[in-house]
Amino acid sequence: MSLTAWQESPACIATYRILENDKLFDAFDEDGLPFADAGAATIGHLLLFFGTGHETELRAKSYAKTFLNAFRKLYLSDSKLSRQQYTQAFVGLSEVFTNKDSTLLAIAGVVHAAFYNGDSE
Amino acid sequence: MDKRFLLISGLLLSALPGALAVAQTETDTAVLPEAETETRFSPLKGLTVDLNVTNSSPENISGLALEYTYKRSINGDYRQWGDDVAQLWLPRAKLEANGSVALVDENPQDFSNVTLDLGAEVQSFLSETAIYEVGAFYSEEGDEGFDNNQSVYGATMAFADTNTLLAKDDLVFRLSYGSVDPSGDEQRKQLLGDALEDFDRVHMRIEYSVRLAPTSTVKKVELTYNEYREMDAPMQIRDADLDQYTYSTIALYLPNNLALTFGKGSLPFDREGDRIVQLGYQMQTW
Repeated sequence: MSLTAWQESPACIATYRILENDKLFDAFDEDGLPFADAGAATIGHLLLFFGTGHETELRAKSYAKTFLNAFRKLYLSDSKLSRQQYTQAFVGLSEVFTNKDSTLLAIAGVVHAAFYNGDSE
Repeated sequence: MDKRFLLISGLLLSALPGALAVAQTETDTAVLPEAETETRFSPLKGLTVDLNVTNSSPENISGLALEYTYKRSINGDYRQWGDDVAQLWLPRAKLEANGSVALVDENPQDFSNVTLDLGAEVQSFLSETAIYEVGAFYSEEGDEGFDNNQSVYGATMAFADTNTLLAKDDLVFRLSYGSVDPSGDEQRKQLLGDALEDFDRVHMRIEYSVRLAPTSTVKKVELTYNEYREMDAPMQIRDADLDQYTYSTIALYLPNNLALTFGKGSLPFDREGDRIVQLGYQMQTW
């Protein structure tokens, strides 16, 4: 099952926590963007890296890698992580981080598809 | 001038459907639209257009200018090169075009290029945030209409990283070394005559940005620095100050896709050494 709506699922919660984390992205304050409203927020609005300079693609991939490694540390046991999962998530995250109109829900959708699809929630 | 209007009209018309589509999909309800789950081919994907109101000095020329960037890439599959699942490399090909079209007689940023880059992206265990790139490139560079032009081929390497010097910052560094064929460069031909020959050139690009508080008026500050340096340039080229070009900008990003940019310096084919102030609106068509 793919993730089609922002909800209190592991993928949505992880996405929210990683982007909100002061030591990682610090993209918003929890008070300013409550969890319930966060799914529709765009990364262009929150992270502001879109379309600037010449190296947007490389920059977006660095954001994707930062996100993915944070997720790996905080929410995964490495013994359960396969290369296929990692690359699937990285490709998906790179794509959404390149598009300023991607929502937090789209990021959570990538995380869900790579790591939680098939789990009962 | 007619050609410029045609090009600008074409770009705006191309950008409009994408912009409208984006506006139509923005909703307050966090439900993924069907389109986001499908892979669609769009020839406009990768096109970014900035509409700028520009003033350049010392000539004190003001007017409208369009700055365009078009990027497409073809990627292979990620391959693992170490024990860790995050040690990956990816073969890829990239096509990129950059330039500006000015609605005044003299373009203050009169430098365009089209580049084909074949190489690989590398992820290493050395960093949890950095991405590295190595590749070989072929580039056509010129003025706005490529009337003056040169071709360059060589090698390039780059890295991008986040949270480097400050929290909420990102840094991209690129270094390229290439051989330049200047046979289409009229000014260089006039200076060197029969002695015109290929030369080697180093290009360095640094982009550094810091995101500020989401509630502040200025959302982000970005610094860019470009330097092109010819190796062992002939005396005539050095005397004419054509052996080295530096161009730096500071951009303040404002709400609603607006940016205020201050630029100083010169680029290959844009040899006047302007100081530029511009207020721009960015359209991204995907």
